[in-house]
Amino acid sequence: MRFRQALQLAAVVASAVVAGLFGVQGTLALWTVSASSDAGMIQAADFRLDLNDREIPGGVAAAAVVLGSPTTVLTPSSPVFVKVDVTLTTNATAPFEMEAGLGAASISETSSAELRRNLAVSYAAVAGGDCGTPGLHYTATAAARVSTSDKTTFCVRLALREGAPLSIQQLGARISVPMEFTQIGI
Amino acid sequence: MNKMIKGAAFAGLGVALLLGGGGTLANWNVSDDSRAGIISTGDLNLVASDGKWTKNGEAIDPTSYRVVPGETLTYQQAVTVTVQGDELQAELTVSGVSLDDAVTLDGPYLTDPAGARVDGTIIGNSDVPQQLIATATFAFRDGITGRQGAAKTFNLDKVGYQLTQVADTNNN
Repeated sequence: MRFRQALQLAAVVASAVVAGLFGVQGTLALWTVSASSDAGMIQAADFRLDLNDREIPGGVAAAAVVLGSPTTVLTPSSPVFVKVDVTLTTNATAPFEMEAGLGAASISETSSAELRRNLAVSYAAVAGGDCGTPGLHYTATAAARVSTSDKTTFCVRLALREGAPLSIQQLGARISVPMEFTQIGI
Repeated sequence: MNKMIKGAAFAGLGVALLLGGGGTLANWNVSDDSRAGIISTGDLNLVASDGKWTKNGEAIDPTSYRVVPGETLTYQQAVTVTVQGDELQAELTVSGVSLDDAVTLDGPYLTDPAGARVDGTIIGNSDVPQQLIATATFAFRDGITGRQGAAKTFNLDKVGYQLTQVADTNNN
């Protein structure tokens, strides 16, 4: 009698164990393994552009160079030249160059429409030398390559057109030259 | 007569004592080896070897290299995958990172010695570890504006690989 009861108890226990094992099968953890690439970090280069030894503020791809008062008087027969030196500095590993472009100048801070009409602004990129060098070709816009090896110089020519009226004598204006710098593709 | 009876009585008594001290009697027992043999577990492992950065096939030092827009750098490393187990299968996946808008990371992709892509696939049992090649391409976009991305550091440490056992639904 007791033996039979013992057998029955063992059967119940065995059933419970089997049921328990089936019951927990869904929670069995599977193997997983991972590995890091240890690729590390990549550092971007930085660069700086200076116009006449003054840094262009960061975050802008273009700048406006406000030309100061000429040291000589502007007359129809005597243009005035202003030099703009562009310097590029960078810690880039690969060769890094930019193209500097000068756009059409804007004339402001003058109420004289005659002055605006008769004031001509043009540019030339020079490799050393004087802005007044004969044969230097001036145009309404200009572009030149800027590298880290040496500065790039633009000459800005201010002139009064032929036949400018006398009414524009003793007048002043603010002349802004827009410049845009674009990285030259690698 | 009486002595014989007494002797038998004492023997009987001795036997009774023996019966009474049943706790000291040896019970039958017998044993035998099941000869079930040896069970060995399989193995699931993933090892990434030291990688290297290159540009146009030339090795570079990422600690000193300064990248600019338009440049593309490549990272490669050997990855050894071990999937050993009669019913063992595992899925091989890669994890990338989210980077600045100025740059992109393509990959990593895992290829076998034949050049076939194996990331995202199920790898089955193999007697020997499999040698794979992981390749990732880092590019500084050339269509950015202004000074976007200049002087920034791009962390790729979270790029990695994972091998996860796939449950065998046919196994009872």
